[in-house]
Amino acid sequence: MLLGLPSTGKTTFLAALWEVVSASERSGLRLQHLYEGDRSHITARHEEWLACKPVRRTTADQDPISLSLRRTYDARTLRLTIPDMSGETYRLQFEQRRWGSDFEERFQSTTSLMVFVRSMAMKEPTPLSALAPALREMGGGDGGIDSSDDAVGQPASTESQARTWSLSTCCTQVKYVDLLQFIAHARGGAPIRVAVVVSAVDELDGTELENKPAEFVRAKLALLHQFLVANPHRFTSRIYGISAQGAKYTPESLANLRSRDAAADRIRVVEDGNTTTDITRPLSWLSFDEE
Amino acid sequence: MNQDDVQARACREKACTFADTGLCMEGLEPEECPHLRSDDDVAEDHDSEPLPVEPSDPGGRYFFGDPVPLDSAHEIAASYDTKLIVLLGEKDSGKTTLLAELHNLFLIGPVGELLFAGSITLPEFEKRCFLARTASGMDRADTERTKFSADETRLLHLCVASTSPRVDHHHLLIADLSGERSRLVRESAEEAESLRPLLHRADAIVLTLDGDAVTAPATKHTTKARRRALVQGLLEVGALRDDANVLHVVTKLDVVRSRKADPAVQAACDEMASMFGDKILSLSHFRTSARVEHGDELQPGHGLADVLKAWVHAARRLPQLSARTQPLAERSFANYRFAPGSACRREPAR
Repeated sequence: MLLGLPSTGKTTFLAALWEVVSASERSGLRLQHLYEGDRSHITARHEEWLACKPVRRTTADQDPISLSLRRTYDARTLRLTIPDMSGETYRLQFEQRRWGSDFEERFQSTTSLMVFVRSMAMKEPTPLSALAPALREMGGGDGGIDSSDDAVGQPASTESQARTWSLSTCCTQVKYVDLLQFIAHARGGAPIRVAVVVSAVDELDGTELENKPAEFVRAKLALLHQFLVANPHRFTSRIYGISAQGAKYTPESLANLRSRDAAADRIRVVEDGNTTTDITRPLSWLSFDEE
Repeated sequence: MNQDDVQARACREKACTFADTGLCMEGLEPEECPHLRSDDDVAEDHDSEPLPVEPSDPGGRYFFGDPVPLDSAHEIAASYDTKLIVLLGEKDSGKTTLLAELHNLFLIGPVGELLFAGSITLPEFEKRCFLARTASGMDRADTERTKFSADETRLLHLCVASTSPRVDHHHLLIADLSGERSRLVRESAEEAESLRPLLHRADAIVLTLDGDAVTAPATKHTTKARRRALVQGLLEVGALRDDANVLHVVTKLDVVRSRKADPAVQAACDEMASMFGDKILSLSHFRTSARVEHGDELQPGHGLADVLKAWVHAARRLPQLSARTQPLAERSFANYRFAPGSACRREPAR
């Protein structure tokens, strides 16, 4: 199963995966057989990806793609059924605290999970204290205390100015942890393998977290990281950084991406400091416990 | 018949232009034409308009997230070794802020040596943090007050894990009682008695003392007097027993430090120890600054790791069992304690 909030790269991953398993000679997994079913969604997304066009978001859950893959070095086969779930579905599940019985069955029967998090599209829990220096400069008070007795402890802000709390205002990592809690609960504690995918990892280029998805998760998704580490009996996890698109589409990057000999060469997969174009590596680990 | 009605009542005869012209192709009045759609047909159309799509099957599973009513706490206590922590203190003394900032600490990493391992009330922690975040639109951090509820205590759940030498989970159920409740306890023996089952079951009772109020000239005497009255009131009705484990937590240490009023806080702690130290099993003192709004000497969440560690290791002295011991607590929850790998053990109230 692919789990991710809206616009976290699930469909782009599938489009790039489609290219790699069907056309790349360097892939660890190759397409062996495609089972019957409606392929129009995935082929349309694949063509968008090939043309370096933004892959259209999945706004409604799609029928699962069912295929078998053969591992190139030992010919072991793997049968995959991957539903392309809309991120909206997960968002609503968190906010409504509910999912349908079809979901229950899927999560009970699945053996592995890919959790997609987009590096630069997270709602972070920014404390107001982080703005204090800026407010000071704007003359909004120094946050210091007035030692006169009447003023002590009085908040300066007015609650009438405050926005209303709702589940949608929760920070991103809380939503992911809670969704994983739902899954663990529905599975009755049965263990599941989790590949955490930091998607659009190219967006971290030029920062201190460039090509460091594991450090990114520890720093920016600390609650999720702790939750996975603290529940080894339920989750066996590994962290990947993936740029299925290769780069943000700009006139300059498009020229660069289109100049590659093979379309699959645009892809970047980072794991344990190693970089490759083989986007099947998370699937290999999830399925075979090895790359 | 207005134009909308005319269009809605289009004729079933394809060649008829009634919908456009309002005229029947056979020259009949609308009431006479057997092919014209009736008002009932139109109403039925409206009824059958697709409803907004329900994203999830209403028959599906509903998940946790709300605070746990006290009467449902046994479901967690029966499954895990669980510590019950009760937060008591005056209004604005920092009980809820302590919980909110503990959650905020976990959002950036482990707290001390403890990792976040889960919570069935995770959104509730987020809710308590909201007014201290930029997303709230506030210009200064605040915390929503805990609503007073006379008849129902609700609990937050937090599971933390120690990882050395192996992963061990510690489940905490936390009762954040409103400041209003503390006021009523001071003023009414009945109210103090109502807390007896909860406090008897508590593995740790956290008594918050507002560091700001106890060091401000205008409020310091009142603050200490109220704390004395609260503890005295609970002792008198037996809600606080000699097996109680009390964590005396001084909050807003950043304010204390900015006033250079540490000696005043020490005096307040000494007074607590001298007056009540011999009446309860354990009394320990903590100094915290959940939020740091004054000075740069302290880091946000100062002291919270020690408080959390004390919760995890909190232990009451269990009374001796005898053949004639009968459970006396009104709530069954107060009569039980569970340990991992062992059968349920009924604990008698004395």
